[in-house]
Amino acid sequence: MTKRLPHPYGRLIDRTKKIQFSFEGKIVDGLAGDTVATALLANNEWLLSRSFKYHRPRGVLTLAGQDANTMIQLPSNPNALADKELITEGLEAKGQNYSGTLEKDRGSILGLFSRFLPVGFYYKAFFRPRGIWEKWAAVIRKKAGLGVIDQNISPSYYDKQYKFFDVVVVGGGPAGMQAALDSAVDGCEVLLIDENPILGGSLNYSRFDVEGCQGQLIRQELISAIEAKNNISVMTDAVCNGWFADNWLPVVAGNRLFKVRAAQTILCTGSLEQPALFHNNDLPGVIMGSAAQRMIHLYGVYPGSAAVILTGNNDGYGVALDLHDAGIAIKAIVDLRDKPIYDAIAEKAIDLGLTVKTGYAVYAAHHKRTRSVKSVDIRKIIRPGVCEEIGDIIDCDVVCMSVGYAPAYQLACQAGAQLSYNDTSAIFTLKHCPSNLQLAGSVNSLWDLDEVRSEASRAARIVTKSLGFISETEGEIISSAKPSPNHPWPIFSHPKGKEFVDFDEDLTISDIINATSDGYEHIQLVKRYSTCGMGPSQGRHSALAAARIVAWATNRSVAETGVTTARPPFSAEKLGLSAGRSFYPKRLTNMHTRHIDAGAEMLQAGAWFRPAFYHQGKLDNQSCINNEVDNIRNNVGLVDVSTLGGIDLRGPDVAEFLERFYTFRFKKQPVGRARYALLTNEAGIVIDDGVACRLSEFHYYITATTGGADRVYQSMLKWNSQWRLDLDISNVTSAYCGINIAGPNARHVLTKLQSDIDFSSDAFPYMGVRTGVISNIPARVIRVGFVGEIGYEIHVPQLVGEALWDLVIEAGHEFGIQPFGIEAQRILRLEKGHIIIGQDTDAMSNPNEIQMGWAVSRDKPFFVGGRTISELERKPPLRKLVGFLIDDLNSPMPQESHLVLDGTKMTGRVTSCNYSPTLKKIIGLAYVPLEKAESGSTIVIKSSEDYSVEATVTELPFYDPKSLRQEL
Amino acid sequence: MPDHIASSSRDWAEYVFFHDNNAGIVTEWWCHIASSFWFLAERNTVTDEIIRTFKTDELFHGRADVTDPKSESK
Amino acid sequence: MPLGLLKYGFSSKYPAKHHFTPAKDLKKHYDVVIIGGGGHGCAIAYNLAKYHGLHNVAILEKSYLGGGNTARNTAVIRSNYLTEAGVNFYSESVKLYNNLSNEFNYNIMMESRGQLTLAHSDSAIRGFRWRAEVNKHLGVRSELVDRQTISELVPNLNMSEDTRFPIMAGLWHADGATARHDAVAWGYAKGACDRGVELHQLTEVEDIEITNNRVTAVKTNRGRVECGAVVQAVAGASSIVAKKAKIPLPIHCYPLQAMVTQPYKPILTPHVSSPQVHVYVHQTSRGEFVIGGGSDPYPLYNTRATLDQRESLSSAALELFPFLSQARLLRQWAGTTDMTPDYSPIMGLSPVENYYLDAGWGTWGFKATPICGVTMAELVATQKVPELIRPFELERFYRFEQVNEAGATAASH
Repeated sequence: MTKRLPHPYGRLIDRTKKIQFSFEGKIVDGLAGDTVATALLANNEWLLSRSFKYHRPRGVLTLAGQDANTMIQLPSNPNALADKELITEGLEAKGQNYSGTLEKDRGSILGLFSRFLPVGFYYKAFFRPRGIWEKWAAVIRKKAGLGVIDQNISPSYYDKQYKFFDVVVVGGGPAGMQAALDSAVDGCEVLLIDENPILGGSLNYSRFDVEGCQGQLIRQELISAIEAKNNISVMTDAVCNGWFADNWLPVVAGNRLFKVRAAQTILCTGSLEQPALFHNNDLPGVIMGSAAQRMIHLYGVYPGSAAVILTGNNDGYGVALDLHDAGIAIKAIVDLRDKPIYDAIAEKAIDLGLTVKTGYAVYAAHHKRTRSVKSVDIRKIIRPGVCEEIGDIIDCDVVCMSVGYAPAYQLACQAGAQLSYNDTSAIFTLKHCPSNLQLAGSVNSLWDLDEVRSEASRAARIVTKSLGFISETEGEIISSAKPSPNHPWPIFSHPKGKEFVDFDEDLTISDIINATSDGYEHIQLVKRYSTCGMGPSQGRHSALAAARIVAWATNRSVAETGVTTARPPFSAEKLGLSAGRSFYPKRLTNMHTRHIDAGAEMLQAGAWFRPAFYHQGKLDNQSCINNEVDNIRNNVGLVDVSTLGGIDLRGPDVAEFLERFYTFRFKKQPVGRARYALLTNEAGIVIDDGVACRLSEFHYYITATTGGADRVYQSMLKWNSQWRLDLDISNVTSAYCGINIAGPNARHVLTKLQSDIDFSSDAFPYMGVRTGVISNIPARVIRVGFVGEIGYEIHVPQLVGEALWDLVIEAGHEFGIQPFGIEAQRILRLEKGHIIIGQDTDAMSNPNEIQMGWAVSRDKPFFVGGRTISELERKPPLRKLVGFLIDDLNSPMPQESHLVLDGTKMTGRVTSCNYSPTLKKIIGLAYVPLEKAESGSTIVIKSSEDYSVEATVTELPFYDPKSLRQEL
Repeated sequence: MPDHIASSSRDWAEYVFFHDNNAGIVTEWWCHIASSFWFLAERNTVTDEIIRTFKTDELFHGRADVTDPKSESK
Repeated sequence: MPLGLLKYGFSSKYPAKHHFTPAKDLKKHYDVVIIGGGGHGCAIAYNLAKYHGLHNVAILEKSYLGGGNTARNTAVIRSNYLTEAGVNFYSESVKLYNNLSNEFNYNIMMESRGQLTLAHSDSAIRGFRWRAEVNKHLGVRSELVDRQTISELVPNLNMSEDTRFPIMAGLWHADGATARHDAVAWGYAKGACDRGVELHQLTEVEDIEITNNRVTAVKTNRGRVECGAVVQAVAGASSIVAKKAKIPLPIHCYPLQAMVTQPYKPILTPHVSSPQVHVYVHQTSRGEFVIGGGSDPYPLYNTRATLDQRESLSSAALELFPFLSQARLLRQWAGTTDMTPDYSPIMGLSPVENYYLDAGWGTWGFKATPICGVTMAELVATQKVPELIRPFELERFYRFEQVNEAGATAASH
């Protein structure tokens, strides 16, 4: 391992803990606290990855986890940021997006063809002759993407936590620490979030004074004060990854997503140093000035041995001093400014005798065989962006760029702030933040420490005042007395190009200009046509340069040109984080274990699980189902109907309400009787059905379909909040469970049970309803005929469902009672011609089409859907739902949804179809055109591929047409 | 709801299918799913700002009767 | 390397020609004013100029070319709809799409990698079989496939039975495709501008003048323009614009959100969607996974993203592809959809004589772009409603008739 800088350099590393990992198969030694990138840099390895389009070698740019240059492949973690991911013992890291080796990437040959691949080149070629594109697409697709997804991982554990604070401060630099502290002093509960391992932000690496000690002093002072306050929570290594309405902030830390609600938010997200544009500005070794400072101060790594500083402000001189102090030779400070106004730090650098070239630019960088920078060509600037023909070559192994900043505007813009550009200071500024959000620090265009802290205090005062913690006024807006750190035009085009605007997408100055020449002038069109800003770093380091170039090329101001929309998330976030753990409730009926014990095959219906049928020894499924059907027709069976919706309605207006809500009449319905209830929506479409049981004058119990119950209940409440009829409505679906006992022997089974209900035919006729007690269990019993035999539906309180099940099984034992499932029920009801809402109806079915006109009362004043139904009735219906029979048992059985044809014209479809074990025929329901709806008509069903079957339209029901059996 | 007896077919169709779809402040129905409580909200459909929420009795006072076609014809 | 790119390499000067109308003043009069410079507006203008000899046409776009839903949709092209009207209409569109790059001389990068829609319940299977039968009958490649076939089509799909909604079957649509969505608008705009149509960006229609039930002029932020006819093609703002012409519409606007991950090496070929899990996933030619789902729960004219949707889309995508937990989310965005009661568009005549509607495009507007251009241009030029779009006229709602595509649009787009 090469030498590291001595303590106190290397704030984040622990020199006592050595860690070994591998990169590209080579063993690398690092220290605890090192990122993959810094451990490699300590070993003088710059090359990390290959770029997206031209496979150019790339290394560290920001060392802040803000750029895509450092994306590497870790196990089950593609596109990992080498300057963020900490090394662990034995970690296997690799570069990305190369063929061959990272050092010798065969893909880099694409760079040689770059002049044949102009901006938007995909649009301009690859499509002649017709059909050729799909072949090219396959080739191009192989080149697509960066990292490799591990398709065999078992997903890690991710979870979520909610947090609530008066004030959330995003960013733990000088502004954030000050703002958090002041808010806490005023009494707020504060959360301070920083993405780095320690608080301090630029105080940890930037130079604020000639001696270079002020940053740490202030940091210590602030941290001590923060630690003394117990109303500040601090989260480090945590990223606030978006701003959502009402200060709803996702904060990512480790494998946990914190969902934080803040009454007020103060953004102290800082600013991002921006690159200069010159030939080969993407070479490994060409880095931000702040990146060099991070290397030295945070990781104790030497950025190189000979540095050239390219600067457009005084910060570059601070970088030079830092490097000089660390023992790195400063070959030149190349200052873009012709007549700089120096501060004390810059003067110190000059006093030290460092070489300064004012009015000069780095025009090009050159590389050595190891692919990183070996020298720069510096030239005198003639006018903005244009240099003299001849320059000086300076050897160096690192180039530090300090030409200006862009605010980390993403969260503020997501909150609705607007970005404007000041042509004098050449800075993007943020305006029009919402009232629950404040800015402080360099995100707000302040860089001087005193100014930053004053502005942070002011932001805290605004926030605590708005929350009612203080009453004093916030004071004057701080406007900076210092010169702007941004150089207006650090952009130098080169005849050979390769002055990268967007490192992610390998876009150069001419790509941006040519996009505008092609007519794509709006910044959004430039982005979409050139892909500038579409890559993983989302324009963090390209938006400013792109806006300047587009403004220049289209003769507009930078402010007019603007930037593209900043969308969440702020930094790329693993999908596992926002997915979290999955909570999917399952609904099991009270008798669930009885079904399992009886060998039920369970079927999912929404969140519910219901028995489809019960296995019988080694018998095949269909025979089991047919046996269940036979047992109902000839004997007795029971089925769990607990998933049906149940709604209790009580009050003097209950019948009036039902008359308005459902299609039928209810006012004259006698107590102790049940009626079919059909529900339509305002468009006259059938949406639910059930049975309305009048338990007393003012009390109804209504059933609804399993899937529709909650919707029906909510719809009832909505209508009655307008009608204000005198009744209470409650959803008792989960309060009750139920069993249907059906078959010729059903009554015999029930009379065996101890009950105060008289089950005899005379006392309890078909469609009767009784309440009573069955073996001490309070019960509501309805005589219904869904399956077409004598049938009793017994609804009892949820907790005693299993007990009731056991009682009925026991009482039915001597008759050979057997449970039956949904499959048998579907056949039984089909034999009786009963429809299932949702299966035999679709989004267009009105009552007349499904032969339910009888269930619609036309002589009552109003019901939901009534007026529309009468509008529909002005015209003959387009189709009718009818029953059909196929006598020929050798004919293939049509499946549900097979089409009904008239010649080649589609005229309808099958909605239900099954073999009837009772009738020994294929029976079904189908929509047919009106002219085919008469019973006896022949319809043609296209059944699978090119095979058609003929079926005969038949009166419903198929079984027991006079419905004698269910009324026995 | 327009008069379900007297309104023209076109007016009824507009009631059933059409929406004002205003870009700006609207009064609309909301349901608190957990309690199935319906209430009304004034909301800006451009900014998504909720101006106020209120109970339905502010708009619907007392028992609403429906037009009976038979009594109409009398 | 394709020969077409050589000129860029060997020419010392970039051989540029503006693809669109350079900024200039509005004329006093246009034969046809098209409100909305998205894919649809440009397609209509293109067809008017190329096939109907109408060149004095202006496209007025309030923002930038293709900057509305054209820019925000997830670029899915398919025709496996449910109604006869729907299938016929969209399958014509797919046919036109297949030839679009060559028609434009501009690559829209259409790739037919197929679409697989997943069924997790008996009722979904019934619905899919219905669609498959209708599709096959009308000549669209669409079929119900079993679990085995699904595993072959998408080997890395989570076929576990131990999930919330195990996969039971699928609807496979081999013609399902994607295209570079922006390029569709650009190609049409370029072709229209080449033929004399004027594209005016940053030009917002503020008012519409109507006399004797005829449009006479539109007022814009850049002045008043007289016109012979007006077509509105402003999905996401249809009600707002139609209101200026006093035309009520059966539309509610809902945000539709989507998101995209960073690029990864390709591992997913077709487009996979699940209406029940409420998600669709496809991997673009850049290697990014595009993930989307259902519309937002309430109406809004705002394209903000929500954390709720980020969470539910991520968790839904992971149900289908658990390994995506390691993929990194790059960007969330939203568009504004015009939702109609029957999930079908509103096209054709309006109550105002020379004012034509191209609205109600919900989540299905992009795939209809070419056929919409053809049919709407024919309507404007000939005053006769083409049979293909007659079912979609606004008047259907006054007749209480609907073209219901509810079952064929959920989460598939």
